[in-house]
Amino acid sequence: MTLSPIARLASVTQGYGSHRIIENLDLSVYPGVTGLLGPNGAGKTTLFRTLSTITPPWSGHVELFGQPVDGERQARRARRRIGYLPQDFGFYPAFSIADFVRYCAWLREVPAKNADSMTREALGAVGLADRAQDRMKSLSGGMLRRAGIAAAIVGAPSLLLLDEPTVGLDPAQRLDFRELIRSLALAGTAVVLSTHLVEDVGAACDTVLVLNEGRVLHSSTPLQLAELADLAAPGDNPLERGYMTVLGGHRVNGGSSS
Amino acid sequence: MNAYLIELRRSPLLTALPLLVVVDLVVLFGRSRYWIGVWPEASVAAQVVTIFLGPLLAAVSAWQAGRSSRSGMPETVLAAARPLWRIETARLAATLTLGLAAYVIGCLTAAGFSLSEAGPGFLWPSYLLLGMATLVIFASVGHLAGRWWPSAAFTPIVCALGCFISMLALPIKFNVLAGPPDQRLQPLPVALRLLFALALAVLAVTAPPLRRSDEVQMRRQKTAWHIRLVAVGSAVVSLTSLVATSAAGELRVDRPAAAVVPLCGRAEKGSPEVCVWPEHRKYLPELTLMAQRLDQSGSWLKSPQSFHEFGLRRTDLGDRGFDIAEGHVRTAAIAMADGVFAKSLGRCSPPPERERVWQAMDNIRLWLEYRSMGQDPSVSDKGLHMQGVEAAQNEATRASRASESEQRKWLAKERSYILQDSAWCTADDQI
Repeated sequence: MTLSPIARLASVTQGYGSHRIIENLDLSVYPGVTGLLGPNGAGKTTLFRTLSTITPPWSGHVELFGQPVDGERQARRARRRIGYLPQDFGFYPAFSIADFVRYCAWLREVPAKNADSMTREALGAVGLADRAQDRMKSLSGGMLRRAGIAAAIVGAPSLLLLDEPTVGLDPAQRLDFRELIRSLALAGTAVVLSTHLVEDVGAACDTVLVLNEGRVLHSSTPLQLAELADLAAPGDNPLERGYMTVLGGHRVNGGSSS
Repeated sequence: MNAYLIELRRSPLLTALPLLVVVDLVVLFGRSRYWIGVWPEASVAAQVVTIFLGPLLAAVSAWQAGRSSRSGMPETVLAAARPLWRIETARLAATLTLGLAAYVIGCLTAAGFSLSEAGPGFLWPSYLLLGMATLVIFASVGHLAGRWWPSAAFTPIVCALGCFISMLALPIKFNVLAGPPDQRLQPLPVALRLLFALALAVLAVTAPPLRRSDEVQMRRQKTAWHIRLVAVGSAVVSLTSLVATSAAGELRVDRPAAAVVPLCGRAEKGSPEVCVWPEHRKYLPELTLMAQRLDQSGSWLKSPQSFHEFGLRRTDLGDRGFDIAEGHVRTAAIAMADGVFAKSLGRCSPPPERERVWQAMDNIRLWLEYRSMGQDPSVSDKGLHMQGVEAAQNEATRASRASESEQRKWLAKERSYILQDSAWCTADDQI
């Protein structure tokens, strides 16, 4: 039996103004955790904005949950099932954490009758249940990030897009976070996770994509990426070296895919 | 509903609500008190607060609307399934709810204070609707400005000042300052202002966002065509209703006397009857006493059988009714004294060079005014700014403080100046 993708990009070209950032990209996202690695400017955030339907592609096709996204109506329908934590996620400082998460649930059109219970569930999942009434402005960086994750996962989205979610989390919180996304993936959610922390990918992801200059250089399991490691490549562990090998090869080869 | 309640709970206006209510009540009671017990005046007093509440609401609305951009929320909002207009509607509705709550508290206070004295009736809805339209207009303008220019300080300040100045300077009036019962608001201009307010509110939530410099390059999904249509439609209706408002004529017009049964009374049997608009019920006892005092001013002076308040007997030749200006019955004394003078001596027009005759006419009129008030002239003239009649004031004051017999002598002498030539005075048909 063939597993159908939650999200599929076919020949997508995308950019801002006249600047092309993603070019002719083909990508399929399946249930499980997909890690997105790449240097700054590789197009990770642009890819997230395309997957979250914020920006329509210049060309190519986006398909989410088996349906093509050709306009605002289809995009809105898809957004109900997408949880998105932007890299620089905003928040209303005067809101309590619970209100912020509930507000995000409302934005995603989570049915009102479930909103409260799902908010509690999301806050519990990130360990903020006992701080639910704290104001957002009173939170530390790590707690803000956790509130952002709660806002992204509220309502049990089918596709969860997390742009650098572990920034500001301490080691224990990062372990909890990995556990959380693994459990979401087990429940059938497709999680796409962008990070510069390769160990997060190694520990939590089923698939890893290496992105550079708007193109997928490599797609495999973390183990397979680690196996590619050139012993001379910089890095503290096989996965890091594998990543650097892929990137290095791309640079040496002038952009060819591994 | 969920987001509306959250916006309501987290709005800075909720914290500021007690302050808004205090401003409301300070304006209500600090400006004047004569509105208490007069329904249209109480309605206007409750509505006048929009002069301050409107700009304040515009500022807060601008601040609230710009908060999304300032807080870095646009990306989250753009990724939302909920359409933008719903998000903006929840925010504007929360601002309006709290602004209108302060307004309604003021209205209810005005009603509560008037209830015992004013008699049948209630606050006039037209004035309250006018105030509501003003608040919605300014909150909507602030919301739209805040969405387009999300500065935390500049936009709210410009909105507040702009709204305040526009209220004073624009030819289209957003409020009225007095509500005498002989006047009423025209339904059409009020309805047009309400339409303008509604269209602006719709425009404020459906208008597409302006792209900020840091967002210029981000291409977005297009807004649904029907929302764009609503935005364009509301902009057209806003402009049309604004033009129509300025073309709709006066906001306040004469109230037809035929529409009401005047409230009439007399101090005692045989005294002149005094008729007022029903809303001026609280002044009737004092006015009937004034009429009674005038009736007793001397055997040769004739008092009209009745006195009518301004507006109750309009004729093509004008209206000689008495006026109660800003709660002062002293202004009614002027018209009443003139009525007695005209009934007794007719309408007099001596040659301009006969200054003493003109002086005598002023003297008698003022003396009658003082008589009607039943107070010492220094008391009855208090707060009344009379210019050009100082000589008459002095003479009438001196006369009214004299004994009754001396007053009679003084009056006879003054009268004799006027009666030197019978051609100077003619009977007044209107009395």
